[in-house]
Amino acid sequence: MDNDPVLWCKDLRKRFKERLAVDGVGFEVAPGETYGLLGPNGAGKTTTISMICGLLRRDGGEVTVAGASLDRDPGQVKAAIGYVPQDVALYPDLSGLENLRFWGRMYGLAGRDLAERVEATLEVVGLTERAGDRVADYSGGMQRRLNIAAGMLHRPRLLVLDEPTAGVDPQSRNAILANVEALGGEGIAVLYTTHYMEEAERLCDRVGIIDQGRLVAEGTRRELVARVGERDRIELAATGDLAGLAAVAARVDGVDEASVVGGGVHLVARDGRRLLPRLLEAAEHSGAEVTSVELVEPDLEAVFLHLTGKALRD
Amino acid sequence: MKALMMAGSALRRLARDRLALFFIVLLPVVIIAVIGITFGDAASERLPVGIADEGAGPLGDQLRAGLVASPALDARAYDDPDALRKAVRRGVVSAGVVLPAGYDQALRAGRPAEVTFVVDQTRPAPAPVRTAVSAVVARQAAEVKAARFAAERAGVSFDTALARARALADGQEQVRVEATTIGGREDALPTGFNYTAPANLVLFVFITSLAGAAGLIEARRLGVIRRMLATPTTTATILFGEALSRFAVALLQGMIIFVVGWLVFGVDWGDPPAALVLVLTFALVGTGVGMLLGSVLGNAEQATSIGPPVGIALGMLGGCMWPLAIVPEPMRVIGHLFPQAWAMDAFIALIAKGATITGIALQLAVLAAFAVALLALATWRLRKTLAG
Ligand SMILES: Nc1ncnc2c1ncn2[C@@H]1O[C@H](COP(=O)(O)OP(=O)(O)OP(=O)(O)O)[C@@H](O)[C@H]1O
Ligand SMILES: [Mg+2]
Repeated sequence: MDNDPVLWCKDLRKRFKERLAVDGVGFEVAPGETYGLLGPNGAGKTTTISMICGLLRRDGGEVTVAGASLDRDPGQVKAAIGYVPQDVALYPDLSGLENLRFWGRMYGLAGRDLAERVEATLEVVGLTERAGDRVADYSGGMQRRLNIAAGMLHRPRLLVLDEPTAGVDPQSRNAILANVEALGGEGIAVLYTTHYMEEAERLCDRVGIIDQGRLVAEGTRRELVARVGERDRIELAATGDLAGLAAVAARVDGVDEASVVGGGVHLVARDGRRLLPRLLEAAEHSGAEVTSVELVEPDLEAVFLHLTGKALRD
Repeated sequence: MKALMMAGSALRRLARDRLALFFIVLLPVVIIAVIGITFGDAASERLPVGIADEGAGPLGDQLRAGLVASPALDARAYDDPDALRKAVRRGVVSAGVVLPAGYDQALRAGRPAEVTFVVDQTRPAPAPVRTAVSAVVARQAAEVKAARFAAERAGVSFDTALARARALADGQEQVRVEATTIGGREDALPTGFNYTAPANLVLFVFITSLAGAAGLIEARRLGVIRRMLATPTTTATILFGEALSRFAVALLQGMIIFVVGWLVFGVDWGDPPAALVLVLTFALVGTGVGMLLGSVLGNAEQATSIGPPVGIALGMLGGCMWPLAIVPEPMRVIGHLFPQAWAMDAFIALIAKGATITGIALQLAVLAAFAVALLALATWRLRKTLAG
């Protein structure tokens, strides 16, 4: 039971008039797992999430959350989800505290339980001191944090965050990312959409890459990168016999290319992380002294480029 | 229950909106008071009053025009305060009013301004003169206050706001003059506060409901409604909660005018249970209007800006400015296309003709039909837009 996915969706489809916004998307999110939907503007992230949360009629597909089917038990599914919309959806003329009380009640909390959850959640998002102020007087970053808080109050099994850091200052952004990281640790399943590659890399256990309504690839970061078959670049800074170092390195199994560049040697290798120890051992006998090593792995940006033929952001 | 909680939250937000409170609570009461006092008991003879203007400016001119227009007064101009005092002493006029220099600037700037009321100590001015003069002054004070408030809050110019405040009071004023000239029919019509209180109840509850659509539009625009749909709450409950929020405001305003009219202005509402059912039913009509407008309009400013003009226009057609008994037949028929006319018919039947609830059953049924039709249409539209 514990390892059953919290979210399971399959073959989601949605058409807006002529435009096929989501076309056969399906994935699973396990308890404690953070799943990222990574894709450019208009890829279909919000549309997918809206269907999962029961906010948008599906043209096809199934959704199960915490064992409940969205078609048969929409109430149960919604109770299990904490939905954080892409745009701040709060009452600006109410205080942060009043907003959280309102949304807590909408999720069925009441009494002491509500009061405790509101207090704890304010603490988590760092807004305890501003709780009595009107939301309209909050900074953009603070509004975003409260927006997230409103979705976490009722301890959802699945927290759905739609681009929670869009247009946020670096400080709030870090706070938000830290909050999301902590949630995974608490066993909450997180579905996180973004078009920031760095966020997906930092937060997500698994990433689904979505483009033009289709899930073009899915897996852990390493799986995705490996699937693309991109090779790592290893940059060795060294003193002494650089040409000798290059020659020795080139003979290490897994290294495809080695060349002297400036004050060091650059290698192109498959699975560079694994062959680093052997590489350094070989370098011992080369007559050059390696002063630093940098491994540059291909990132999701490269994966996206490879899969779709275009950059993640224009 | 969530719908009640939503309505409670809406009332809390309203309680913080001072401009809305002003229009919902204060303005109707002020207008009822001023119009009721000025034209409550039409004086048979006009009493002579002297006016000396020391250069009071445009607002001074307005005040003087108000005194001249007052049916209780026969206003005469004097060149300076001394000439005026002399006239008062000699009994040529029963009292005098001095409009001081700088009156206009002071009021505009929000500083207190004083007009001097000149009387002869040996011969106090007759009560109707005092009442009529203070009513005209009070009315201007209320208008200026309203305009200053609106200018500050809504960002319109002071003069635009003042013109609006005056227009609101004006339309109704002519009413009373006309109503008192009809003679024969008057026995069937309530007079004084007994007319202005129900007329303003109907007028304001409707205007407030039109403007109240803004809340629903904002909630939709902000994505708050959508977020509610993501909680374990049915669409029906959410729509019910939104309707209940509008209903609470309409009923609150109706009840305030009802109670203030009864306790402060001595309005005889007739059969109280019947009157309460009528207020409630009309609040439901307002709810329907607010929900429907909230489902069709795209932004909140549209709702707040069309509220007063549309409400006043329908109020004129529906007998809130003058009784429909005095208008030609075709206008009366047109008026009854709108709920205001039915509500006014019912109030007049209760107040002036001593009808009971069975006597206004037809009007109540028509109003209920308006409410049901409007709410059904609004629900249908909202469900369609929310389903995605
Ligand atoms: N209500 C709608 N009516 C018509 N088209 C829509 C609607 N909502 C979304 N679309 C279209 O569907 C496609 C997917 O939109 P969606 O909002 O899901 O993208 P997204 O991945 O969330 O993008 P972003 O990163 O900009 O938020 C877009 O082409 C969009 O124009
Ligand atoms: Mg989106």
